Amino acid sequence: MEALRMETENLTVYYGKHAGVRGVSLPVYDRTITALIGPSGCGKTTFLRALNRMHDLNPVVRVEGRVRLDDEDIYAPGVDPVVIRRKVGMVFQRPTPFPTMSIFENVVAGLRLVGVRDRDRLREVAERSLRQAALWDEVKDRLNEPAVGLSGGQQQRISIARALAVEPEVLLMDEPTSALDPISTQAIEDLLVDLKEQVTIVIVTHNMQQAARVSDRTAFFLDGEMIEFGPTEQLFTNPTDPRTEAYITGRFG
Amino acid sequence: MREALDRDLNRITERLLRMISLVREELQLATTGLTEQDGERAKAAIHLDAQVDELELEIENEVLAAIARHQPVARDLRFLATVLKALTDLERAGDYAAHVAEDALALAGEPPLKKYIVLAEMAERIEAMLDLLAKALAERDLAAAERVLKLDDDVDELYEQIVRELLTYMLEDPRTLSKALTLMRVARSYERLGDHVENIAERIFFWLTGRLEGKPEA
Repeated sequence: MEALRMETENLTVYYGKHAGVRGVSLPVYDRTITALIGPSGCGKTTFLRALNRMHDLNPVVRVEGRVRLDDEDIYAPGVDPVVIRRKVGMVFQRPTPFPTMSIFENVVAGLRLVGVRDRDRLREVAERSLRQAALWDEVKDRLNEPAVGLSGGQQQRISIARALAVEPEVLLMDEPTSALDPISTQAIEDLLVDLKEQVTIVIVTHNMQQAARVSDRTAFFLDGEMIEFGPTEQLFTNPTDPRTEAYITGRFG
Repeated sequence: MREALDRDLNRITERLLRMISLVREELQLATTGLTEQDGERAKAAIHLDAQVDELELEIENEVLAAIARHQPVARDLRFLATVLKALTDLERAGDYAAHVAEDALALAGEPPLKKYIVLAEMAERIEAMLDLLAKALAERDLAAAERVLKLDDDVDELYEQIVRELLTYMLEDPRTLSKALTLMRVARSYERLGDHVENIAERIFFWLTGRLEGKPEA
C-alpha cells in the first residue's frame, strides 16, 4: 500500500447555505493519480478547490471538515494559504499563460513571486520544469518569445511547467485537456503518467476514458457526495454502487 | 450514444442466441444420425457446422466494432468480454458435434453394436444445457447459468458410465474393438462439448456478477 500524501475527512463545502460538497472522506496516495469523475454540478471541482484553499478567495464559501497534507491540517489557524498553494499546485481547464510575458518568464513567475532573483537558478529551474512538462525540446530555442505564440497544447504544458517550477508535492488539475485537441490531449496524458513518479496528482475530468486511461484510483461524485472510490480498474470493470454503474455506462438520467 | 450501444449489444445478443441454436440443431442432427443410423442427417450436421464457424467470425467482428465505437465499461464491457470468450467455446462445441456426425456417418453403414441409449441421454442433457444457456443470456438469468453447471456434472457421470460399458464389450468380445473405440470417441466428443457449454455458463456468471469463480475447464 502506498503512503498517504493528502486526506480529506468529512469535508463539506458550503456556498452560502447550500452544501456543494457533503461529507467527503478521500485518501490521496503519494505519487499516484487520483481521478474525480461525475456529472456537471456534482461537486468535483468544488472539492478539488478545497484541497489548496482556493475557496479562501471567495467570501460566500465556507469549508468544514479536515484536509490534511502530510498529516498537517491545511485549514488550521496560523497556516499560510500561500505556503499551502505552493505545496499543492493547480492547473486549470484553459491554458493560462501571462500574455505579456515570455515563455521563460511564464515558467519562473511563481519563483519570482517568492523572491528568487538569482538568474542561474531561475534558468536551471525553467529548464528542469520545461523538461518535466515535456516541452523543453520544442521551446528551448525561443525562450524569450511570448508564450501566447504557442499552440493550445503547448500553452497548457507551459501552465504545467509553471506549476511544477515551485516543486509542489501535489498537483491539482481541473479538466486540463478539455480545451485541447486529441493529439495535445494525448501528450498531456502521457506527461501525467511520467509526472506521477515525482508528484502526486488529483485530476478532475469529464472524460471518463481519460480517467480510465491515466488514473490509479477513481472517485465518483454525484450531487455533492462521493458515491464510490476505488482502484480505477475495478471501478470501470465492476463498480460496487449501481449509481456508479449507471453513470459510467451512460445510463444516467 | 447509450441507445446506439444498446442497439449493438442487443444485436450481438441475438446473433449469439442464433449461434447457440445452430449448435443445438447440429448436435440434434448428429445424434439422430448416430442413433438412427441416418447418414443424411449426419451430413446435414456437418454442413451446419460451417454456418456456425461463419457466424463466429461475424459476431467477433461486431464485438470488436462495438468496443472500438463505444469504449464500453462495467457490465457492458463484461458482456462483450463474455461474448468473445463464449464464441471460442461455442465454435469448439460445434466442432465436437461435427466429430460426432463424422463418426455417425462411419457407423451408419454397419449394424449397431447396441442401442445407443446412454449416448442419446448425454446429448439430451447437453441440449438442455444449451437451452438454459440461451435463457441465461437472453434473460440475464443467473439461476439458469448455475443449472448449466449442474447438468454438466450429469454429462460427466454418463460419460464414466459409458466408458465402463464399452470396456466390458471390448473385453468380452475383441471383435467389437473397432466399433467400441469409435463409440468411445463419440462419448468423449459429447463430454468435451458439455465442458465448452459449461465454460460459457461460467462466463455468463462473471458477466452478471462481476465475479470470476473457479478455472474453466478447457
